[in-house]
Amino acid sequence: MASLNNLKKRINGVKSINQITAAMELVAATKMRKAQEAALASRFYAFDALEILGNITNYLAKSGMEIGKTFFSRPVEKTLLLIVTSDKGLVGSFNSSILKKVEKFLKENEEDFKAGKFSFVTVGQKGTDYVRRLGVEPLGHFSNYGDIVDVEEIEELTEILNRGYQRKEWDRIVSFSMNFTSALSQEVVERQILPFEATQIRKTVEEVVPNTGRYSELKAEIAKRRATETLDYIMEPTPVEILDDLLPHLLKVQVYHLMLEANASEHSSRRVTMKNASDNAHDLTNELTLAYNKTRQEMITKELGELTGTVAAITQNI
Amino acid sequence: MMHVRIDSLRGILFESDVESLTVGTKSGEITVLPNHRSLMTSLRPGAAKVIDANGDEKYFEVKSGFLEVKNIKSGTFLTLLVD
Repeated sequence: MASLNNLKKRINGVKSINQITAAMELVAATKMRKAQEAALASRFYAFDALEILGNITNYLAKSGMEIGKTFFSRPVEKTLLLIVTSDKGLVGSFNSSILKKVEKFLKENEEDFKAGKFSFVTVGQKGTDYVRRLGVEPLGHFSNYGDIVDVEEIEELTEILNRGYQRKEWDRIVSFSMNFTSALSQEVVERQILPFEATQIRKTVEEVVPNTGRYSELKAEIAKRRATETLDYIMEPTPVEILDDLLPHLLKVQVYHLMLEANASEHSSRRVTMKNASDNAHDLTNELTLAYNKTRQEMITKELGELTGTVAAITQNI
Repeated sequence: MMHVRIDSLRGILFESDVESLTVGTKSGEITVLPNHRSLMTSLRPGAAKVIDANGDEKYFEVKSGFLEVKNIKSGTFLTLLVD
């Protein structure tokens, strides 16, 4: 039988844990909403960038000009893996499910990995630790993207990704990150970021705008501005140069969305985990309080018993 | 009148009908007026100036970006992507 004092201490301990987890739950919920809002705010930019890309490629196709193909496809020799995880724990299975996917990918391509054809760039402390455990030093590692990533913060990351690609240090970039579908469901996705797949970018962007409900009126708005036929553009300086300027922008848009999705997923995952922790703490408090009351009751009964026993003994003696 | 929308990754900076737009492009500074021919160009660092129907001027910072002018039946539409 635990002593009353000990029980009291445990009850207080569990109660303060409950307070902390409940606070963390609220904070995570707010941050999740903010990450979603940031993703929605950037959707016009993303849509218009794609629209311009589409218009340029149409124009080029119509005038029979050659498109600078480098961004679209080339033989794959080396691959860069971009792993997006969180900095901190207490997020349930968020990190482990991402890293499991990476592990599976590495196992499937074990020969390439051993031949040194893979390099790594990581976002988040957990991913960095994982890659180091593999015995590889990531080419770049970023942390503190955790809350809601800022446009400026991803510039450096995008720069690294693009520079290595241009210098042919790698021919393909594959990302592993959490995709946010709703507050209750996220899934790990493996995406090819470079070379570009136009359909993939469009999909990424379209996922941001829901088909129904709030914000869905946006799609009609976009359709209104869309030109039905190929316009006779003046291209300055030249279409190919514009395309060369545009593609890094698209890369940035893609990386930015990826990060925001990861942010939203992390916060939502943390929210759920903290909710479970709070519920557990609540149950535990109830159990402990019950035990505490039982013990207290038993002690009173025992004391009463002793008391009446003593009284009986005394009266008998008289 | 033409319709201008200035987009950034943080959101829409400006969206309205305007009289003119002046911006620095890689091939020099240009001013776009309603019914301009369709145009596509990349921007150089500087400021974009819009003048609205009341003659008020507004300035926006441009680090890099693009301008697309679409002259279609429903009007002249300008899209600026800026960083």
